[in-house]
Amino acid sequence: MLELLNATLLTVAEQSINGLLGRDPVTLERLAGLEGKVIVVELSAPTLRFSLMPCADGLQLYSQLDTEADVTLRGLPADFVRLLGSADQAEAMFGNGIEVQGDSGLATRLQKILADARIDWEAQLAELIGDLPAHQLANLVGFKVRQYRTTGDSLLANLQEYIKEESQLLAPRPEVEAFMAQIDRLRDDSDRLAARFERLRSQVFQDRD
Amino acid sequence: MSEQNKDQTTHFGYQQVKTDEKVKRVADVFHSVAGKYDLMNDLMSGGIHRLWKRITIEQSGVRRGMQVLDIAGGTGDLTMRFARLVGAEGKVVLADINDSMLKVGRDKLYDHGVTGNVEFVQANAECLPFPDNSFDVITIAFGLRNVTDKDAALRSMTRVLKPGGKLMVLEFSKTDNPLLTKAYDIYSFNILPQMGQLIAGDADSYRYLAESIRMHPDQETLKGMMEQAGLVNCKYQNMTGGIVALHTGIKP
Repeated sequence: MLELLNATLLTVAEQSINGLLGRDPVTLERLAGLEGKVIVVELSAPTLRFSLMPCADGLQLYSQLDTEADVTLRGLPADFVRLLGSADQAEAMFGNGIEVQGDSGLATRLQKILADARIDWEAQLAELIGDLPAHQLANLVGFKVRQYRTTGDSLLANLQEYIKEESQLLAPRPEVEAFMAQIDRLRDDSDRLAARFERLRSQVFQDRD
Repeated sequence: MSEQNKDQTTHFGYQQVKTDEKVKRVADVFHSVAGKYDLMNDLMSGGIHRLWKRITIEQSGVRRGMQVLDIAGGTGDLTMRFARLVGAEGKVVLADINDSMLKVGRDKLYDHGVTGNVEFVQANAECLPFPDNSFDVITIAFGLRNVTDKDAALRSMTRVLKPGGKLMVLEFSKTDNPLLTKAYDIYSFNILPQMGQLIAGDADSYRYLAESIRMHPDQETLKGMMEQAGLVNCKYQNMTGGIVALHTGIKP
Protein backbone atom coordinates (compact mmCIF):
# COMPACT_ATOMS: atom_id res chain seq x y z
CA MET A 1 0.00 0.00 0.00
CA LEU A 2 2.80 2.36 0.97
CA GLU A 3 4.50 1.48 -2.27
CA LEU A 4 1.46 2.43 -4.29
CA LEU A 5 1.22 5.72 -2.42
CA ASN A 6 4.88 6.38 -3.03
CA ALA A 7 4.48 5.56 -6.71
CA THR A 8 1.47 7.89 -6.89
CA LEU A 9 3.40 10.78 -5.36
CA LEU A 10 6.35 10.28 -7.65
CA THR A 11 4.15 9.92 -10.73
CA VAL A 12 2.20 13.06 -9.92
CA ALA A 13 5.38 15.00 -9.15
CA GLU A 14 7.07 13.76 -12.30
CA GLN A 15 4.09 14.62 -14.50
CA SER A 16 3.75 18.10 -12.99
CA ILE A 17 7.43 18.88 -13.37
CA ASN A 18 7.60 17.57 -16.91
CA GLY A 19 4.36 19.36 -17.80
CA LEU A 20 6.05 22.61 -16.86
CA LEU A 21 9.40 21.79 -18.45
CA GLY A 22 7.62 20.57 -21.60
CA ARG A 23 6.85 24.16 -22.48
CA ASP A 24 10.52 25.04 -22.56
CA PRO A 25 12.23 23.18 -25.43
CA VAL A 26 15.61 24.74 -24.68
CA THR A 27 15.62 23.33 -21.17
CA LEU A 28 14.50 19.92 -22.44
CA GLU A 29 17.35 19.91 -24.93
CA ARG A 30 19.86 20.77 -22.23
CA LEU A 31 18.42 18.09 -19.93
CA ALA A 32 18.73 15.55 -22.76
CA GLY A 33 22.44 16.32 -22.71
CA LEU A 34 22.60 14.84 -19.20
CA GLU A 35 20.68 11.67 -20.15
CA GLY A 36 21.85 8.58 -18.32
CA LYS A 37 23.12 10.46 -15.27
CA VAL A 38 21.70 9.62 -11.87
CA ILE A 39 21.35 12.36 -9.27
CA VAL A 40 20.28 11.24 -5.81
CA VAL A 41 18.60 13.82 -3.59
CA GLU A 42 18.44 13.19 0.15
CA LEU A 43 16.23 15.59 2.04
CA SER A 44 16.37 15.83 5.79
CA ALA A 45 13.31 16.91 7.78
CA PRO A 46 11.22 15.38 6.31
CA THR A 47 13.52 12.53 5.44
CA LEU A 48 13.05 11.69 1.80
CA ARG A 49 15.36 10.10 -0.71
CA PHE A 50 14.79 9.91 -4.43
CA SER A 51 16.72 9.72 -7.67
CA LEU A 52 16.53 12.07 -10.62
CA MET A 53 17.36 11.07 -14.17
CA PRO A 54 17.41 13.91 -16.70
CA CYS A 55 16.13 13.00 -20.17
CA ALA A 56 14.61 14.51 -23.29
CA ASP A 57 11.18 14.45 -21.62
CA GLY A 58 12.35 16.36 -18.57
CA LEU A 59 13.17 14.58 -15.32
CA GLN A 60 12.43 10.99 -14.37
CA LEU A 61 11.93 10.42 -10.64
CA TYR A 62 12.51 7.12 -8.86
CA SER A 63 12.28 6.21 -5.20
CA GLN A 64 14.86 3.48 -5.56
CA LEU A 65 17.39 2.68 -8.25
CA ASP A 66 20.08 0.06 -8.37
CA THR A 67 22.31 2.17 -10.59
CA GLU A 68 25.07 3.90 -8.68
CA ALA A 69 24.51 7.65 -8.25
CA ASP A 70 26.76 10.02 -10.19
CA VAL A 71 26.23 12.61 -7.52
CA THR A 72 24.38 12.70 -4.20
CA LEU A 73 23.02 15.94 -2.77
CA ARG A 74 22.04 16.17 0.91
CA GLY A 75 20.33 19.06 2.62
CA LEU A 76 17.18 20.65 3.97
CA PRO A 77 14.24 21.23 1.61
CA ALA A 78 14.68 24.99 2.04
CA ASP A 79 18.29 24.74 0.86
CA PHE A 80 17.15 23.05 -2.33
CA VAL A 81 14.48 25.67 -2.99
CA ARG A 82 17.16 28.35 -2.60
CA LEU A 83 19.44 26.37 -4.89
CA LEU A 84 16.82 26.28 -7.67
CA GLY A 85 16.44 30.04 -7.70
CA SER A 86 20.05 30.98 -7.22
CA ALA A 87 22.04 32.66 -9.96
CA ASP A 88 25.38 31.86 -8.40
CA GLN A 89 25.54 28.06 -8.50
CA ALA A 90 28.78 27.65 -6.65
CA GLU A 91 27.62 29.75 -3.75
CA ALA A 92 24.20 28.12 -3.58
CA MET A 93 25.60 24.63 -3.85
CA PHE A 94 28.60 24.77 -1.60
CA GLY A 95 27.92 27.68 0.72
CA ASN A 96 24.42 26.87 1.88
CA GLY A 97 24.47 23.61 3.72
CA ILE A 98 23.99 21.29 0.74
CA GLU A 99 26.41 18.43 0.95
CA VAL A 100 27.64 17.27 -2.45
CA GLN A 101 29.14 13.83 -2.90
CA GLY A 102 30.39 12.67 -6.30
CA ASP A 103 30.44 14.59 -9.56
CA SER A 104 29.88 18.15 -8.36
CA GLY A 105 30.21 19.45 -11.92
CA LEU A 106 27.11 17.45 -12.85
CA ALA A 107 25.19 18.89 -9.91
CA THR A 108 26.17 22.40 -10.93
CA ARG A 109 25.10 21.80 -14.53
CA LEU A 110 21.70 20.46 -13.49
CA GLN A 111 21.18 23.33 -11.08
CA LYS A 112 22.01 25.82 -13.80
CA ILE A 113 19.64 24.23 -16.30
CA LEU A 114 16.77 24.26 -13.82
CA ALA A 115 17.50 27.78 -12.57
CA ASP A 116 17.57 29.01 -16.19
CA ALA A 117 14.32 27.23 -17.09
CA ARG A 118 11.80 29.72 -18.33
CA ILE A 119 8.50 28.45 -17.11
CA ASP A 120 5.74 30.35 -18.82
CA TRP A 121 3.19 30.77 -16.05
CA GLU A 122 0.94 32.79 -18.28
CA ALA A 123 0.60 29.92 -20.76
CA GLN A 124 -0.12 27.52 -17.90
CA LEU A 125 -2.85 29.80 -16.71
CA ALA A 126 -4.21 30.29 -20.24
CA GLU A 127 -4.93 26.56 -20.47
CA LEU A 128 -7.19 26.86 -17.46
CA ILE A 129 -8.97 30.18 -17.94
CA GLY A 130 -8.31 31.21 -21.56
CA ASP A 131 -5.77 33.46 -23.19
CA LEU A 132 -7.16 36.90 -22.52
CA PRO A 133 -8.05 36.56 -18.84
CA ALA A 134 -4.70 34.84 -18.28
CA HIS A 135 -2.83 37.72 -19.83
CA GLN A 136 -4.74 40.29 -17.81
CA LEU A 137 -4.24 38.35 -14.63
CA ALA A 138 -0.57 37.82 -15.36
CA ASN A 139 -0.12 41.57 -15.80
CA LEU A 140 -2.12 42.25 -12.72
CA VAL A 141 -0.29 40.01 -10.32
CA GLY A 142 3.08 40.73 -11.80
CA PHE A 143 4.04 37.39 -13.26
CA LYS A 144 6.01 39.53 -15.67
CA VAL A 145 8.45 40.37 -12.93
CA ARG A 146 10.66 37.51 -13.94
CA GLN A 147 10.81 38.72 -17.52
CA TYR A 148 11.91 42.17 -16.42
CA ARG A 149 14.44 40.67 -14.08
CA THR A 150 15.79 38.60 -16.94
CA THR A 151 16.16 41.68 -19.10
CA GLY A 152 17.99 43.42 -16.27
CA ASP A 153 20.20 40.41 -15.69
CA SER A 154 21.15 40.13 -19.33
CA LEU A 155 21.92 43.86 -19.49
CA LEU A 156 24.24 43.47 -16.51
CA ALA A 157 25.84 40.40 -18.04
CA ASN A 158 26.39 42.23 -21.33
CA LEU A 159 27.89 45.20 -19.56
CA GLN A 160 30.24 42.95 -17.61
CA GLU A 161 31.25 41.18 -20.76
CA TYR A 162 31.84 44.47 -22.57
CA ILE A 163 34.05 45.84 -19.82
CA LYS A 164 36.05 42.63 -19.53
CA GLU A 165 36.27 41.27 -23.05
CA GLU A 166 35.71 44.15 -25.44
CA SER A 167 37.21 47.16 -23.73
CA GLN A 168 39.72 45.08 -21.75
CA LEU A 169 39.39 47.54 -18.90
CA LEU A 170 39.17 44.66 -16.45
CA ALA A 171 40.74 41.22 -16.65
CA PRO A 172 38.36 38.25 -16.89
CA ARG A 173 37.98 36.26 -13.70
CA PRO A 174 39.83 33.08 -14.84
CA GLU A 175 42.78 35.18 -15.92
CA VAL A 176 42.87 36.99 -12.59
CA GLU A 177 42.66 33.70 -10.72
CA ALA A 178 45.46 32.18 -12.77
CA PHE A 179 47.56 35.28 -12.20
CA MET A 180 46.93 35.14 -8.43
CA ALA A 181 47.85 31.47 -8.39
CA GLN A 182 51.08 32.24 -10.17
CA ILE A 183 51.89 34.96 -7.64
CA ASP A 184 51.16 32.56 -4.78
CA ARG A 185 53.49 30.01 -6.31
CA LEU A 186 56.20 32.61 -6.88
CA ARG A 187 55.88 33.77 -3.28
CA ASP A 188 56.15 30.21 -1.97
CA ASP A 189 59.14 29.57 -4.21
CA SER A 190 60.93 32.71 -3.07
CA ASP A 191 60.18 31.86 0.59
CA ARG A 192 61.63 28.39 0.10
CA LEU A 193 64.65 29.84 -1.66
CA ALA A 194 65.20 32.26 1.19
CA ALA A 195 64.93 29.45 3.73
CA ARG A 196 67.34 27.32 1.76
CA PHE A 197 69.76 30.20 1.45
CA GLU A 198 69.53 30.78 5.18
CA ARG A 199 70.18 27.10 5.89
CA LEU A 200 73.19 26.99 3.58
CA ARG A 201 74.55 30.22 5.04
CA SER A 202 74.30 28.92 8.59
CA GLN A 203 76.01 25.68 7.50
CA VAL A 204 78.84 27.67 5.90
CA PHE A 205 79.30 29.77 9.02
CA GLN A 206 79.20 26.67 11.25
CA ASP A 207 81.86 24.98 9.12
CA ARG A 208 84.02 28.10 9.28
CA ASP A 209 83.72 28.18 13.08
CA MET B 1 2.13 -26.40 -34.91
CA SER B 2 1.47 -30.16 -34.89
CA GLU B 3 -1.68 -31.84 -36.22
CA GLN B 4 -2.62 -32.86 -32.74
CA ASN B 5 -2.47 -29.30 -31.49
CA LYS B 6 -4.68 -28.08 -34.27
CA ASP B 7 -7.63 -30.01 -32.91
CA GLN B 8 -7.06 -28.92 -29.33
CA THR B 9 -9.06 -26.03 -27.99
CA THR B 10 -8.16 -23.22 -25.64
CA HIS B 11 -10.03 -20.29 -24.17
CA PHE B 12 -10.40 -16.98 -25.89
CA GLY B 13 -12.07 -14.95 -23.19
CA TYR B 14 -15.04 -17.10 -22.23
CA GLN B 15 -15.24 -18.83 -25.63
CA GLN B 16 -13.52 -22.05 -26.55
CA VAL B 17 -11.56 -21.73 -29.79
CA LYS B 18 -9.08 -23.93 -31.62
CA THR B 19 -5.56 -23.43 -30.31
CA ASP B 20 -4.23 -22.07 -33.57
CA GLU B 21 -7.19 -19.76 -33.90
CA LYS B 22 -6.49 -18.00 -30.60
CA VAL B 23 -3.28 -16.48 -31.94
CA LYS B 24 -5.19 -14.95 -34.82
CA ARG B 25 -8.09 -13.77 -32.67
CA VAL B 26 -5.75 -12.12 -30.13
CA ALA B 27 -3.83 -10.52 -33.00
CA ASP B 28 -7.09 -9.08 -34.35
CA VAL B 29 -7.92 -7.62 -30.94
CA PHE B 30 -4.58 -5.84 -30.70
CA HIS B 31 -4.55 -4.69 -34.34
CA SER B 32 -7.87 -3.11 -33.55
CA VAL B 33 -6.87 -1.35 -30.32
CA ALA B 34 -3.19 -0.50 -31.04
CA GLY B 35 -3.67 3.15 -32.02
CA LYS B 36 -5.68 3.98 -28.92
CA TYR B 37 -4.10 1.48 -26.54
CA ASP B 38 -2.38 4.04 -24.31
CA LEU B 39 -5.44 6.24 -24.07
CA MET B 40 -7.65 3.29 -23.23
CA ASN B 41 -5.23 2.00 -20.64
CA ASP B 42 -5.30 5.35 -18.90
CA LEU B 43 -9.07 5.49 -18.98
CA MET B 44 -9.64 1.87 -18.04
CA SER B 45 -7.37 1.91 -15.05
CA GLY B 46 -7.80 5.56 -14.14
CA GLY B 47 -4.10 5.98 -14.80
CA ILE B 48 -3.20 3.38 -12.16
CA HIS B 49 -1.45 1.19 -14.76
CA ARG B 50 1.36 3.76 -14.67
CA LEU B 51 1.81 3.14 -10.95
CA TRP B 52 1.87 -0.64 -11.42
CA LYS B 53 4.49 -0.23 -14.12
CA ARG B 54 6.53 2.20 -12.03
CA ILE B 55 6.64 -0.28 -9.14
CA THR B 56 7.72 -3.00 -11.58
CA ILE B 57 10.55 -0.83 -12.88
CA GLU B 58 11.76 0.14 -9.43
CA GLN B 59 11.80 -3.49 -8.33
CA SER B 60 13.51 -4.71 -11.48
CA GLY B 61 16.94 -3.72 -10.25
CA VAL B 62 17.83 -2.71 -13.82
CA ARG B 63 21.00 -0.68 -13.93
CA ARG B 64 23.55 0.68 -16.37
CA GLY B 65 24.89 -1.78 -18.91
CA MET B 66 22.21 -4.46 -18.45
CA GLN B 67 20.45 -6.41 -21.21
CA VAL B 68 16.67 -6.22 -20.79
CA LEU B 69 13.88 -7.95 -22.71
CA ASP B 70 10.44 -6.36 -22.57
CA ILE B 71 8.06 -9.01 -23.93
CA ALA B 72 4.62 -7.97 -25.10
CA GLY B 73 6.09 -4.53 -24.58
CA GLY B 74 3.40 -3.11 -26.83
CA THR B 75 3.48 0.62 -26.79
CA GLY B 76 6.80 0.78 -25.00
CA ASP B 77 5.96 2.17 -21.54
CA LEU B 78 8.48 -0.04 -19.74
CA THR B 79 11.04 0.06 -22.55
CA MET B 80 11.16 3.85 -22.47
CA ARG B 81 12.29 3.85 -18.85
CA PHE B 82 14.50 0.78 -19.14
CA ALA B 83 16.33 2.31 -22.13
CA ARG B 84 17.28 5.31 -20.01
CA LEU B 85 18.28 3.16 -17.05
CA VAL B 86 20.59 0.82 -18.98
CA GLY B 87 22.24 3.72 -20.81
CA ALA B 88 24.35 3.53 -23.94
CA GLU B 89 26.30 0.48 -22.70
CA GLY B 90 23.14 -1.55 -22.15
CA LYS B 91 20.42 -2.79 -24.47
CA VAL B 92 16.66 -3.15 -24.33
CA VAL B 93 14.76 -5.42 -26.70
CA LEU B 94 11.12 -4.53 -27.16
CA ALA B 95 9.38 -7.67 -28.36
CA ASP B 96 5.75 -8.05 -29.29
CA ILE B 97 3.94 -10.62 -31.37
CA ASN B 98 1.75 -7.94 -32.87
CA ASP B 99 3.27 -5.69 -35.50
CA SER B 100 0.64 -2.95 -35.09
CA MET B 101 1.51 -2.61 -31.40
CA LEU B 102 5.21 -2.73 -32.20
CA LYS B 103 4.86 0.09 -34.74
CA VAL B 104 2.96 2.27 -32.27
CA GLY B 105 5.64 1.53 -29.66
CA ARG B 106 8.50 2.27 -32.02
CA ASP B 107 7.01 5.60 -33.11
CA LYS B 108 6.36 6.58 -29.52
CA LEU B 109 9.92 5.79 -28.43
CA TYR B 110 11.41 7.70 -31.37
CA ASP B 111 9.15 10.66 -30.57
CA HIS B 112 10.56 10.69 -27.04
CA GLY B 113 14.13 10.60 -28.29
CA VAL B 114 14.76 7.01 -27.19
CA THR B 115 17.02 5.52 -29.85
CA GLY B 116 20.30 3.70 -30.13
CA ASN B 117 20.03 1.14 -27.36
CA VAL B 118 16.57 -0.27 -28.22
CA GLU B 119 15.84 -3.07 -30.66
CA PHE B 120 12.39 -3.96 -31.92
CA VAL B 121 11.64 -7.61 -32.49
CA GLN B 122 8.39 -9.21 -33.58
CA ALA B 123 8.43 -12.45 -31.66
CA ASN B 124 6.19 -15.08 -30.13
CA ALA B 125 6.83 -15.44 -26.39
CA GLU B 126 6.47 -19.24 -26.70
CA CYS B 127 9.56 -19.54 -28.88
CA LEU B 128 11.77 -16.51 -28.35
CA PRO B 129 14.36 -15.98 -31.11
CA PHE B 130 17.30 -15.30 -28.77
CA PRO B 131 20.26 -17.41 -27.66
CA ASP B 132 20.23 -19.05 -24.21
CA ASN B 133 21.36 -16.92 -21.24
CA SER B 134 21.01 -13.55 -23.01
CA PHE B 135 19.15 -11.23 -20.63
CA ASP B 136 19.60 -9.88 -17.10
CA VAL B 137 15.94 -8.98 -16.70
CA ILE B 138 12.84 -10.02 -18.64
CA THR B 139 9.49 -8.33 -18.11
CA ILE B 140 6.10 -9.23 -19.49
CA ALA B 141 3.48 -6.69 -18.48
CA PHE B 142 -0.16 -7.44 -19.25
CA GLY B 143 0.91 -9.87 -21.94
CA LEU B 144 1.03 -13.38 -20.50
CA ARG B 145 -2.72 -13.87 -20.42
CA ASN B 146 -2.87 -13.42 -24.21
CA VAL B 147 -0.29 -16.13 -24.81
CA THR B 148 -1.83 -19.42 -25.94
CA ASP B 149 0.65 -21.79 -24.27
CA LYS B 150 1.72 -20.02 -21.08
CA ASP B 151 3.93 -22.90 -19.89
CA ALA B 152 5.89 -22.84 -23.13
CA ALA B 153 6.26 -19.08 -22.85
CA LEU B 154 7.57 -19.31 -19.27
CA ARG B 155 10.04 -22.03 -20.31
CA SER B 156 11.19 -19.95 -23.28
CA MET B 157 11.69 -16.88 -21.11
CA THR B 158 13.61 -18.91 -18.56
CA ARG B 159 15.86 -20.26 -21.31
CA VAL B 160 16.91 -16.82 -22.57
CA LEU B 161 17.45 -15.43 -19.05
CA LYS B 162 21.03 -15.37 -17.80
CA PRO B 163 21.64 -17.46 -14.67
CA GLY B 164 20.79 -15.13 -11.79
CA GLY B 165 18.55 -13.13 -14.11
CA LYS B 166 15.07 -12.10 -13.09
CA LEU B 167 11.70 -12.70 -14.75
CA MET B 168 8.94 -10.27 -13.82
CA VAL B 169 5.32 -10.96 -14.77
CA LEU B 170 2.93 -8.07 -14.25
CA GLU B 171 -0.59 -9.26 -14.91
CA PHE B 172 -4.18 -8.91 -13.83
CA SER B 173 -5.00 -11.37 -11.10
CA LYS B 174 -7.63 -12.29 -8.55
CA THR B 175 -8.89 -10.10 -5.75
CA ASP B 176 -9.61 -11.75 -2.41
CA ASN B 177 -12.01 -9.07 -1.25
CA PRO B 178 -15.60 -10.08 -2.24
CA LEU B 179 -16.83 -6.50 -2.33
CA LEU B 180 -13.97 -5.36 -4.54
CA THR B 181 -14.50 -8.39 -6.77
CA LYS B 182 -18.17 -7.50 -7.25
CA ALA B 183 -17.40 -3.86 -8.08
CA TYR B 184 -14.63 -4.93 -10.39
CA ASP B 185 -16.94 -7.37 -12.22
CA ILE B 186 -19.59 -4.72 -12.80
CA TYR B 187 -16.91 -2.37 -14.06
CA SER B 188 -15.25 -4.91 -16.37
CA PHE B 189 -18.35 -6.35 -17.98
CA ASN B 190 -20.63 -3.35 -18.14
CA ILE B 191 -18.62 -0.17 -18.14
CA LEU B 192 -15.40 -1.29 -19.83
CA PRO B 193 -16.87 -2.58 -23.14
CA GLN B 194 -18.96 0.57 -23.43
CA MET B 195 -15.89 2.72 -22.93
CA GLY B 196 -14.16 0.63 -25.58
CA GLN B 197 -17.05 1.25 -27.95
CA LEU B 198 -17.05 4.96 -27.24
CA ILE B 199 -13.35 5.60 -27.55
CA ALA B 200 -11.91 2.91 -29.78
CA GLY B 201 -15.16 2.03 -31.54
CA ASP B 202 -14.70 -1.58 -30.55
CA ALA B 203 -16.64 -3.09 -27.64
CA ASP B 204 -15.78 -6.71 -28.48
CA SER B 205 -12.04 -6.28 -28.06
CA TYR B 206 -12.51 -4.78 -24.63
CA ARG B 207 -14.99 -7.47 -23.66
CA TYR B 208 -12.28 -9.95 -24.58
CA LEU B 209 -9.78 -8.09 -22.38
CA ALA B 210 -12.15 -8.32 -19.41
CA GLU B 211 -12.90 -12.00 -20.02
CA SER B 212 -9.28 -12.93 -20.56
CA ILE B 213 -8.44 -11.39 -17.18
CA ARG B 214 -10.95 -13.74 -15.50
CA MET B 215 -9.54 -16.79 -17.31
CA HIS B 216 -5.95 -16.00 -16.29
CA PRO B 217 -4.47 -18.24 -13.56
CA ASP B 218 -4.60 -16.83 -10.04
CA GLN B 219 -1.55 -15.78 -8.01
CA GLU B 220 -0.65 -19.18 -6.54
CA THR B 221 -1.24 -21.06 -9.82
CA LEU B 222 1.00 -18.70 -11.79
CA LYS B 223 3.67 -18.94 -9.10
CA GLY B 224 3.53 -22.72 -9.42
CA MET B 225 3.80 -22.47 -13.21
CA MET B 226 6.91 -20.31 -12.87
CA GLU B 227 8.49 -22.85 -10.53
CA GLN B 228 7.57 -25.56 -13.01
CA ALA B 229 9.38 -23.64 -15.74
CA GLY B 230 12.57 -23.85 -13.69
CA LEU B 231 12.62 -20.55 -11.84
CA VAL B 232 13.47 -20.28 -8.15
CA ASN B 233 12.67 -17.77 -5.38
CA CYS B 234 9.31 -17.27 -7.03
CA LYS B 235 7.07 -14.82 -5.22
CA TYR B 236 4.29 -12.39 -5.95
CA GLN B 237 3.09 -9.08 -4.68
CA ASN B 238 -0.53 -8.00 -4.91
CA MET B 239 -1.30 -4.47 -5.98
CA THR B 240 -4.59 -2.61 -5.69
CA GLY B 241 -6.16 -5.43 -3.67
CA GLY B 242 -4.99 -8.17 -6.02
CA ILE B 243 -6.50 -6.72 -9.20
CA VAL B 244 -2.94 -6.87 -10.41
CA ALA B 245 -0.06 -9.02 -9.18
CA LEU B 246 3.65 -8.74 -9.84
CA HIS B 247 5.31 -12.17 -9.93
CA THR B 248 9.08 -12.48 -9.88
CA GLY B 249 11.36 -15.48 -10.25
CA ILE B 250 15.09 -15.99 -10.60
CA LYS B 251 16.86 -18.35 -12.98
CA PRO B 252 19.19 -20.55 -10.91
